[in-house]
Amino acid sequence: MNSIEAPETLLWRESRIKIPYAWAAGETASRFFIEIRDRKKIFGTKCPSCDKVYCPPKKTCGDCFSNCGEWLEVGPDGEITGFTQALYEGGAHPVKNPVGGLILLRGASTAMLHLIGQCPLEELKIGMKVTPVFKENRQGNILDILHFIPAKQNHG
Amino acid sequence: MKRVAIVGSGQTHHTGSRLDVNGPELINEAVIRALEDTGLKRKDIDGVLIGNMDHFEGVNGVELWSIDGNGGLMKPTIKMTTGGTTGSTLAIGGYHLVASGHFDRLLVIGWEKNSESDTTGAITTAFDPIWDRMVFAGAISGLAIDAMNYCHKFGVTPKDAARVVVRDRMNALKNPFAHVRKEITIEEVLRSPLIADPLRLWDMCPRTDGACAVIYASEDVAEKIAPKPTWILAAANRHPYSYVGDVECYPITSLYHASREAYAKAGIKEPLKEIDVMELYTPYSYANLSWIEALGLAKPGEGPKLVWDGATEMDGELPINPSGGVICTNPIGATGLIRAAECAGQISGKAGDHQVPGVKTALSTGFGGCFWSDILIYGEKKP
Ligand SMILES: [Zn+2]
Repeated sequence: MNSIEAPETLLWRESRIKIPYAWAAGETASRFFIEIRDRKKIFGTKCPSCDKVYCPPKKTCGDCFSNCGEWLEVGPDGEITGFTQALYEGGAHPVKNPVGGLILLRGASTAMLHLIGQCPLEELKIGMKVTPVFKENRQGNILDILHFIPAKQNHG
Repeated sequence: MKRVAIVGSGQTHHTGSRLDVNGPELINEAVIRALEDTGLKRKDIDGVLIGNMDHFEGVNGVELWSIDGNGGLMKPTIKMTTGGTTGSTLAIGGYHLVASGHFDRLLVIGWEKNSESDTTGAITTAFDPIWDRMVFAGAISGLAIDAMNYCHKFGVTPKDAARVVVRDRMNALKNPFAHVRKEITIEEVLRSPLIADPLRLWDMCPRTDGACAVIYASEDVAEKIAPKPTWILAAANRHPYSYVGDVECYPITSLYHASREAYAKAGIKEPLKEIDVMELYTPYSYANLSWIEALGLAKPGEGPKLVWDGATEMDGELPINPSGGVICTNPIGATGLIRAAECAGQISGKAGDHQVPGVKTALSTGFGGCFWSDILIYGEKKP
């Protein structure tokens, strides 16, 4: 919101909109997050017609409308297909100046948006292999993966 | 301008909370059913028109977010949203888009997951922030003032209003897609908690999770898709005023004027006689009395008599809300479009257990915002 400079004869009202929401993940996303939460395993779903493996998983293929009922374990490692760092303040940023990346997990056809950590920005490259770091206390949401880090670092 | 027909539709099994699906997955259920109803495939669809009230789910840009479910992947996809009238705006907008000649087979979708937010909180954001929002904003207050005014004018009673709740609840028992499917008595309505005088809990619509998809076709292809297309004879709408205080409660001016325009377009002089079924967006009981007066079905103050006489029952002269109406099912962005789907179901003979025999002409309405009204009239005969 821009700061308002106005003469005394022009009034405005400041307020904020605060409405509670409770978004259903649905059966498909629920299963995905429960696998991560309980077993630290990442799954995608496969379209039987297009042979695409969606990760994040999809219930229905948006292209052919087939039911993507087959669950395949993917990753946990993958590669970066795009990244940048946000140097501005964002209300929903989980950390200051987050590095966001598109992560194509091994065996998946679509990339997942997530955070990249423990790597100086100047060393990050498209095509770099990464691996997930799972949180200790997992709640059943996307941030149960803390972030992805360069694969070599994880193996010492 | 092309003539336009509805050739098929699909609905979800409406209910209070669909935790098992997210929005796009809910939408997809209705879309798949609509495609199955017509025998069309996603590839046959030229474009998608979708709508809801963004602030009910807190996801702006649902036309993009739901693209996997709504069938619009790599197709022209358009959103229309006009608050409570969203569903009927979609029904009219779909008609306009196909009539324009730019689309031959258009998929029109309305949906809402009311379980995901605080409905009153979300609706409050639709009120003017300088005037009404600080004072008396919310979903129910304006409706209660309208009901109070109507009762004051004509001596209409809570019992009269409860009578239409009984009717709509009875009808919903025969509609497998309806949300509230439970019989109710006049006494039970009158004993339910007062929410905003004179409105009680069971005078009001529920909050519903649901989606509806309707396929529109141009005159060039409609008869090849459906053996009995439902032709759109007329559409009209009126959106008056911004502030609650501007509303003229009786008769509801928007509905009065929109219906007169639609009747003129469709050549209808005596709606009670010439229309065979109506699906009205009446989100509270009293609207089922005063608004049928605005529609010209009864003289001022005589709406209750028409209802008590049984004229609007399933076997009456003009059955109203065979589906159980909005009193039984209200996934807001879908609600107006469900009315269109139900009218098309009645004309094409696909309404199942709540089929009214021999429907040739049907009318649906939409309601929302600051007493906005939309009207569509449908017929079995190509106009
Ligand atoms: Zn597919």
